[in-house]
Amino acid sequence: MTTPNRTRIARWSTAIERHIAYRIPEGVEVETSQNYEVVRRRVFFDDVVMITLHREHTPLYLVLTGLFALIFIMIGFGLLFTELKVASIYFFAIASPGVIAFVLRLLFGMDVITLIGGRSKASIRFGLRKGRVRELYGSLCAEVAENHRRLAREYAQEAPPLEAPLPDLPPGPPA
Amino acid sequence: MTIPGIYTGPQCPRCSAPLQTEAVRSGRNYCLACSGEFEATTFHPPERPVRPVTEVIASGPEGASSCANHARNAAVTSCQRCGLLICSLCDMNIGEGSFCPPCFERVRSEGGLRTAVTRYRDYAGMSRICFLFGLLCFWVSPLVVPLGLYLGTKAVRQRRDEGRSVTGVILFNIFGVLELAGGLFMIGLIVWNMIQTAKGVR
Repeated sequence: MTTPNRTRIARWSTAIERHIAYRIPEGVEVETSQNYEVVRRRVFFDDVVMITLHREHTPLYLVLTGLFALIFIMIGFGLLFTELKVASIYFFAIASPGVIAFVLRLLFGMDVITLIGGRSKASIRFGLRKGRVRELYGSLCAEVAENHRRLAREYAQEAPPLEAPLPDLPPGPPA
Repeated sequence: MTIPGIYTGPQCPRCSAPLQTEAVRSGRNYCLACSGEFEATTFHPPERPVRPVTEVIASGPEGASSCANHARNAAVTSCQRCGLLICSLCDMNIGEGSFCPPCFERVRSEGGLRTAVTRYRDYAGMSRICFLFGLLCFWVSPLVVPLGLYLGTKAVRQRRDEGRSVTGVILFNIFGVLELAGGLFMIGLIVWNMIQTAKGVR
């Protein structure tokens, strides 16, 4: 069902889906898992017309993590000025993952490499490994360029020889 | 279940608006639809050379068999499933043998072509969730852990077919067996305690 010799290059999740990107000898394969149903999508190097890289902050993620943190921080602050001061620590602790996620996303964003092909496209997302993003972007570009050069050579060898040009016409009759 | 949208060609990586590839250059670019910035490296894939189909008349006396679907075309191979002679137009070969178009569709829909499978069930994940549920609620473990073991066995078979490592799934199955034993022991202990308490009350 899968291509052997594939290596995992990235893994990321959204609220409802889990994604794993693999590198296969002839392209990139992204598996999306939702409710234990896995959908596979491939982009082949010989079809790639563009590879892009951009950074996004995903506003929905920021709003959700920010709201989560804010609610618990407010409860914590509310308790800080009552007799239940110790309980506020508990709420601050609950809020801390939300604060960390919010700050990390705000500072670093999410880097997205997109392979755009003529027939399909695939996105690979990275949260924190910024060095890896550049390295992967460079290596994918190099591999696509190499693949296209190799194909161009192969196609040139396969192409039928050009027909011999027509011989020059004999000189016309004198006017 | 994800239903992939219809891909109509190169799109903006930010907003998925259609993109004119001629307008994009290697380096920094801006989408005209969303004004989003992105870095791009463009490529020009070489075009496949057109392979002319040999006609029966042109192929000579030794290659005179004609295609079952295109009478004028010379057959280049036969379908692996039904044995029909097929020309290079009908030859559906994706590295797992030659098939004629109807047989290819049939074999693909039955999941017979490994490389053409784009959708499958994650049995390993399903078995893991059963084991986790059994771990959290041990009193239901006699019900959910056997289900997890059944799914785990299917996952082992699936991964073997895929040529992937089965070590993780087997370890989880061993854990499931231990969990089942632990769950049964705990239930037995509770029942025994209840019986002892009932005897003591009498």
